Amino acid sequence: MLKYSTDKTLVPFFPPPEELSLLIMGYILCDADLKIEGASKSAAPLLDLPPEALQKGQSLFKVCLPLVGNEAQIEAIRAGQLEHLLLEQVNLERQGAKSRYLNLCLLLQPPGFILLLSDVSQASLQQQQVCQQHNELLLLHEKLVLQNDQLQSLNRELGELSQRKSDMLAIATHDLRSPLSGIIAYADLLLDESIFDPLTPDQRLPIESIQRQGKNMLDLVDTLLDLRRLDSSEPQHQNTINLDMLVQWVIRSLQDQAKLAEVTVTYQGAEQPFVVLGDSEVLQQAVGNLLSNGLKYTGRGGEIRLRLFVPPALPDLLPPLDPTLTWGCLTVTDNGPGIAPDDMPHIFEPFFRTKEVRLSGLPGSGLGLTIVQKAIHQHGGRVIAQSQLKEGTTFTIFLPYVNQEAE
Amino acid sequence: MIQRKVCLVGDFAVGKTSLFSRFVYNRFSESYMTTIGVRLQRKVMLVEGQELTLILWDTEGGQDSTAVKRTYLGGAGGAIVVCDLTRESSIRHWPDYIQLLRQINPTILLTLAANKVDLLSPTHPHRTLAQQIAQEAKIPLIFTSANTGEQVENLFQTLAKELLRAEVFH
Repeated sequence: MLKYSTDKTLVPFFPPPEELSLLIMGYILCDADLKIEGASKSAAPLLDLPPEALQKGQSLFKVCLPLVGNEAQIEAIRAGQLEHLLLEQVNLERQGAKSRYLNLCLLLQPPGFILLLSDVSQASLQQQQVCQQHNELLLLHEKLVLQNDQLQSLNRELGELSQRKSDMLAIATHDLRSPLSGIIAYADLLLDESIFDPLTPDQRLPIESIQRQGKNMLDLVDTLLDLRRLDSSEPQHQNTINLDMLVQWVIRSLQDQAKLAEVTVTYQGAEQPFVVLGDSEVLQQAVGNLLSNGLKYTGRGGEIRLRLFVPPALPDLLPPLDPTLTWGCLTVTDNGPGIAPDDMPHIFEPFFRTKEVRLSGLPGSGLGLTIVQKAIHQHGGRVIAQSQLKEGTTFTIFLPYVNQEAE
Repeated sequence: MIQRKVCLVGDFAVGKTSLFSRFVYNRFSESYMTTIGVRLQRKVMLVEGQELTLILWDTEGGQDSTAVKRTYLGGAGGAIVVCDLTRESSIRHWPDYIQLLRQINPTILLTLAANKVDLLSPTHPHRTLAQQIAQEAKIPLIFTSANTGEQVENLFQTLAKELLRAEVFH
């Protein structure tokens, strides 16, 4: 409870309310009708008023804007139902002037009232700076949350669109496959001399062309279907695969192509079992694509070396390889013409073919390396390429392996 | 002469001070300046041929209605509850402010200001959300832009008319 002095001197006796632990810098004394009786010298400047404004008999409401509208509270103070009316950090706006913040407290000072004024500008301005930073951070946070939501939504939409595109591509390629197979089969039939009479060279040439182009198209369709299969983030099958055996199988399957290209293929297997988890068909295709690319572009008399090993240290890649996993490496190195530095960033992009390859007339879709990258990523691995013009190219596949024998 | 205390309340950075400045001084600042405590100004208006003085209380905004200092709201005849149309949370907080204001003064007259309308497309769902809340609370809603000045005068006129009508009725 507040204790008030019954003394009619201008200095009241307070233990002020806790929230009023402030430096009182001015006061205005009023009668019971809130008519000014007297004021400290500092009161008028605090309220931005000329000294004569606080003349005796003037209504307090006229000189103190914050009290307007608070008549009910003042009545409650008068009736003893309310201890005081405290208005904190009131900024009596002065256009073009520095902000001044006042705390105002109206109390009973029998038989009238006393209005205590204190200038809290310094503390308020400091608080303003802190709040400003706090609010700006909150706004930034809100914006980031909003942008994040929008990005997630866009990402979902993109995912759906990509899925729809893949589905359409799958349908289209699948539907193309059957008529293409028919065309190739009829071309084969026409060229089969055990069924039909031998064709004249003029007849044979276009039919052979139909057969060749049809096979190229069928290869492309199969490649597109492979790409579609690799769109999912995980392999369709999860088996334990002995990578050493898988590489040897791939080399054997491409032996004829190597002979035809007159390229020597050597292989150095791992000293320890190298078992990975995944889809053997997909990994065969990835390794096969690297090897067949090498055979295609290395040139006669060239050499391709494959090596399976545990790297002594992990390379610096972005994003880095997870150091908690055990990593194995397969390198495919050729001594072919190499890849120009300008082309290197694009070699894994779909349908990318270097200028030299395009001019060479060698057939290809430009999807082989894309399939390699997708296949390895699907298995939680990484593939990188290093190349030197006229020296050759090395593709390195990193795959996490498990310490168990393949079945 | 009739004088009425009118408070501007709402979340921080929704544009209460900008509406206040646009209405009182017809000026706008692009930079955001946090309000501390309360800013007071008197504005004399002519409403339907009658003079009305508004004592405008531009209050400090917080993250929601719990941050409002109740002492500022005492004795207010009217209040403008402001939101930033680009920030959904500030619209969704409207019912809390309305409840708080009516709790302090059950007869208080309210107007909703959906501010920063210039930053929103005409079909943005936040407009609908604001309209739904206004309809449910049966409170006039004005889409404003302190930046362009759009509907700012109308906002204060709308509330001022209500205050005058209540005065006549009283």
